[in-house]
Amino acid sequence: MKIKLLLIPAFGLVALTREVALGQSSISGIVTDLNAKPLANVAIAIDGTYDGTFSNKDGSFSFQTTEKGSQVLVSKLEGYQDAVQVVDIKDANSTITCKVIFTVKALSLSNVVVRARKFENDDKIKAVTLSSTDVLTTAMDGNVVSALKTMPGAQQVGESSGLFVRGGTGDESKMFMDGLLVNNFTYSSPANQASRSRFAPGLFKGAFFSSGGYSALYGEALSAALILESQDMPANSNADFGISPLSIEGGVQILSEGKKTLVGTFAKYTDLSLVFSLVKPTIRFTTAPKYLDGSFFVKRKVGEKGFLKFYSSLGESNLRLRQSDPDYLTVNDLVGLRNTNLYTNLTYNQELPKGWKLYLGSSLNYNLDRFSLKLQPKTSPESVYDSLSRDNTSLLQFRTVLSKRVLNNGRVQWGGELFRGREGYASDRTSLGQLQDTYGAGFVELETAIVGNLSGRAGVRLEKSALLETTKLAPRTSLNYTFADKSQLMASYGTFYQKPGKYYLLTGPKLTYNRADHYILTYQKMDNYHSFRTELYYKKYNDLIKTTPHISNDGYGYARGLELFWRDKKTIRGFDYWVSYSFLDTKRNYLDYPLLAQPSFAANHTLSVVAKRYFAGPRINLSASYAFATGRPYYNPNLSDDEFMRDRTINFNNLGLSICYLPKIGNSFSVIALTFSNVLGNQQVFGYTYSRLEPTQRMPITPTNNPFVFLGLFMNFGVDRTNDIIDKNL
Amino acid sequence: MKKFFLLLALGSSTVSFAQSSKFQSAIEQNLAQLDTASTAAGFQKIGATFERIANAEKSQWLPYYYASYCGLKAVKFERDLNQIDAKLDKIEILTQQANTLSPNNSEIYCLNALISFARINVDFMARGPEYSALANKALQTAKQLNPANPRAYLLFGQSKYSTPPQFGGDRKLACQYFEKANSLFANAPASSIEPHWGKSEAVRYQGLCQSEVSVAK
Repeated sequence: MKIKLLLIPAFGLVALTREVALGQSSISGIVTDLNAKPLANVAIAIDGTYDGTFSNKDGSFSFQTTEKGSQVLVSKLEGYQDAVQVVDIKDANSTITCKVIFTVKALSLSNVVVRARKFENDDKIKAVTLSSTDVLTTAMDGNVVSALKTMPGAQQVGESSGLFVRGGTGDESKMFMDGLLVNNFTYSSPANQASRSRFAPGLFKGAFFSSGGYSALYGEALSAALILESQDMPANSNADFGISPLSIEGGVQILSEGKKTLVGTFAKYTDLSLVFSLVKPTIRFTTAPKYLDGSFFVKRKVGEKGFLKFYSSLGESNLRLRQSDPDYLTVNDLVGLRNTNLYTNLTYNQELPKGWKLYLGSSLNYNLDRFSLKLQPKTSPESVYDSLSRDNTSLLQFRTVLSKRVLNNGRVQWGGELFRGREGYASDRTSLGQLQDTYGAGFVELETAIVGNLSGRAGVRLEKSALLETTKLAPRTSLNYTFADKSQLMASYGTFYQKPGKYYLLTGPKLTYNRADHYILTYQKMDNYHSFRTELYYKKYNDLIKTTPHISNDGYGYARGLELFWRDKKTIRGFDYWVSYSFLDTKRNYLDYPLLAQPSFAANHTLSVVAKRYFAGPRINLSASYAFATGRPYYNPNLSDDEFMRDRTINFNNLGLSICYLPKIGNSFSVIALTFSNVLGNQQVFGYTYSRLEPTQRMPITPTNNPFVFLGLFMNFGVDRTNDIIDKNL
Repeated sequence: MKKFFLLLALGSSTVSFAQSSKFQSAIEQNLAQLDTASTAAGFQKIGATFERIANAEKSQWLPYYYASYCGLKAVKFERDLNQIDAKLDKIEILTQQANTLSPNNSEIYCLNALISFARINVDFMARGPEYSALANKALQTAKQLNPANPRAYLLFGQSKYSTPPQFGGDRKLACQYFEKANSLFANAPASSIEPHWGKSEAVRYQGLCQSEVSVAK
């Protein structure tokens, strides 16, 4: 071996001297485009040899070569097809001058999308993405839904918990955690009150909010899909602790030796009574809302490329309130709501050879709401009416997806899911009974480059519900054109089906699926500093539930609009802001509507601005958010049917501020958060409840607390997920 | 006997041997330039030469390896975050080509780790967890494939050293890695064209470690 090493340099020396002895030819020239504009940084080389160089700023180049005879000179520049020409080197000491001209601009997808995993025609790119940092620093109230309301397409609906997207109701948006449906994403709440999400933002590594035209992999949602991906393995074992006037929480997660297995648990108790005794809410709670939640989770790496995740949470909540009965003005309603919720999610991901991937998942949702209602005359302590009702839902889901990378940076995914559900409603006076359904779906989807800069996705979803005795085929497709500057133009179409709500299924005749068709045109340009995105859409609703004259699928409607989103992290250093604007024109004739009208949950114009800045010196993160929406329609029974939903509430304004201080407390990572909502004290009215017996009387629907202040301390020992809160500039 | 076969082999293929000697000397010349390069343009230029050698040879992994390494050196000067990813995409292709020609090569896994580190710098918060894991995995593999590769330990150390402790950094552990890297560098076989970078870095870091210890005392 040693001999070889010694010999080679010796021969190298011979080769070198030979080169010198033979002399060198020089090749020089200039590189330009068709308009004679000089091109810099062009790589020029004699094909098959080591000889070559780069062009200078003025397009000139010059290099030496020992080659002779007819040689091929290849010049390469990104964005152009290679310029190839023949040069004739007559003898060993020639001086050759030549011109290299680039004529053909390259327009192949391979130049635009280089890495396979950069092929993004899936929902992640169609959706506006929020990282867990974004969610944590935007939704300082710890509610994932609040962060999503700053995205285009979402309505500022404050009287209900769900996400109202593009003229859709809250029920039309579904949440998926690691591909599995989460049925009760938010806490149960009494009528006309919004509640927070059950899930802490720190559970997730990212949220992909698709406001329409999403993949065939998801169904049972007419409007929007919120696709949440849970965190992977943390770097170390760690423990959390948090305290605020509202809540106390703590948890620990232990990483095994070898970092293969993680076991963790977390518990949180929330009690609003202290806060409500300091800041009087607009509602008289006789028992302030109390929530107790516990969760348990396991994550395990299986072999080299397998990953198992298990998450389970159990929650209990309780509240009681007293309010004037809207119908009988001499009577108070005593309302109680107790909730029990169980959510379990188990997934397994396995990467297989040759670009195959297997996903298996299963989830269990169980939810029980117990409503109690007492009518108590204002003059007497005795209640004149007493009822207790139980509203139960349980849902078991199995899901599998097999995917494979295919030619042209593409991917095929296919799989199926099966839901077995049982829902019912019963009070101590009446029972609507229980219903059971087995719902199955199969789906297949192909994403691929088509030709040049054009790529596409085509998918189809077959759904069958045993209860509805109907099978539906839902096609989903999109075309994507990538421009040279990497901006994209997309056209998408999709058909979406959703089962009617359980009350209609329980009380109505035989019903069929609600249907929505989405047509969307998107233009977007994104890089590491800026995101710009605009969407134009048309959504057609068919077979919506109509309750008059009898329950049927005769409802219909439409929604159309324009949305803009702009995010800028560069213009001002350390400053990150985004602006969303949505214009919405929607009408529907459903439920008891006498005619086609704009529904009460739809505002024509919605604007949201979020701005954040982290100051590394004092370790303070400041963020501000402002939301504006034009007034929404509300039903006024004093008007004639022709004037149905004619009245509008006042415009909605909300300015929120939050200050986060990251002190150094021992070895921990700590955050002290101070948040104000509706700092300016703007009056907020979401609608009115009219008395059915005295229609001249009405009560405004307002937020429970307005304005609201929140102060909390959150600590983490070890390395943890709450450290995501540190701004990216750290 | 060995000598005999070696000479026979060399003698019977003078043409290819002349070629390989040309290859050897070209790599040596460029490595000499690489040692003195200190600007983005300098690294880029040397990288382009390695790329030309790679394209001409087609069967040698080293020029692809060095082209990728020069690219990574040049990327460190890049301030425009949008450019970094595009450049790393190209570097990744060069690295993959090297890997195709020389699979299971500890040195190439070190390059993969460097690529991941460079990607983290684009967006620390969003990419940190994913790419740190990728880099660690690449370095683990590099260590397994060649436990005597000092660069694997050097890179492990650099990562542990520069990461803030809240995010999993550990200077004490980093210093142990530098020590190990230095002892491996001391025993590394001398080679003119095989990868041998990193020695001065390892020495520099160990110096930093020692000065920290003395400050602590």
